[in-house]
Amino acid sequence: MNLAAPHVGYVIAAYAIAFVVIAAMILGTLIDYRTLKRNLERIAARANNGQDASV
Amino acid sequence: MERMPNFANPTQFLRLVRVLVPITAALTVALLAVGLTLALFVAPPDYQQGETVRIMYLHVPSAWMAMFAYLVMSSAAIGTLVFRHPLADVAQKAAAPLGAGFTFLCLTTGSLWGEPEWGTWWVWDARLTSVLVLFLIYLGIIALWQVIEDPGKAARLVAIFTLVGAVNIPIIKFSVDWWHTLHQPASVFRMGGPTIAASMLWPLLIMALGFTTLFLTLHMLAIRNEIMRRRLRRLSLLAAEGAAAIDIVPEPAE
Repeated sequence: MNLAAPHVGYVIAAYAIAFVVIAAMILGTLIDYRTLKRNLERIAARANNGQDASV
Repeated sequence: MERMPNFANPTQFLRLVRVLVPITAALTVALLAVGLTLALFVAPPDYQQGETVRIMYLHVPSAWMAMFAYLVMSSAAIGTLVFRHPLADVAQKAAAPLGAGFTFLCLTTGSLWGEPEWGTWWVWDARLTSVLVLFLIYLGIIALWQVIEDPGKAARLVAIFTLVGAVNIPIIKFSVDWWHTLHQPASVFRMGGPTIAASMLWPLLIMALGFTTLFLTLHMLAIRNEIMRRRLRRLSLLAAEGAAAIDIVPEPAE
């Protein structure tokens, strides 16, 4: 790619936006997974504690 | 046939996801690495557009994925309403934000291409407008999922809304043939074969494949998240009712 060509700034902006949007989709999915996993573990631990107390 | 796993079962499906995601993720990295190298450093500049043509390698795959995600959602909507498949509405919900992301990317990259080539960021052209409508439909679907608390009720309403919105997909595809538009007509999937030079077609197809595997990977991960979200909701409701012990404490032997 010729960086001195006219309008190359538009090309760079398009790739930068694509990077941000795709990274947001990937990170959003991974962060959602970690949050859900943590919450599931917490609720399972709470349920197990309740079970231990009742035994 | 007896040995065939039942992927309608969420647990079986999660097992399948654990096997498939590393494969599709590796394919995505490889395809996008090759595709970006070809698109940015190997493919020639266009004789009219110059370097701006390189935006096409993002814009066209994004547009295809925007429509592909909607077709996945429409199939899932049929699965919800007709076949009552237990994972259909989960797949539908998981695809909506991804479809919205690709549609947003399609609109922004198209706008960034339009300014230098057409002299304007936006025109109310049939193709551009129908893609904007697709983006608004995605936002509407995401909002519907958010505002209706009962997942079963939300699934049916969203499925109907999705199928009504599906009428927009052929409008997007054929808008450039049905109306006089500023947007150029199809140059890859058309009767008589592609009109685009092979030196530009290959990078485009590899980028499109990379976007497809990226969508499949993220969709599988989002389905897994949605299954977990529903488990969490069910457990929270049970806990709130003070009945969590029923789910966990083994029943006493007779």
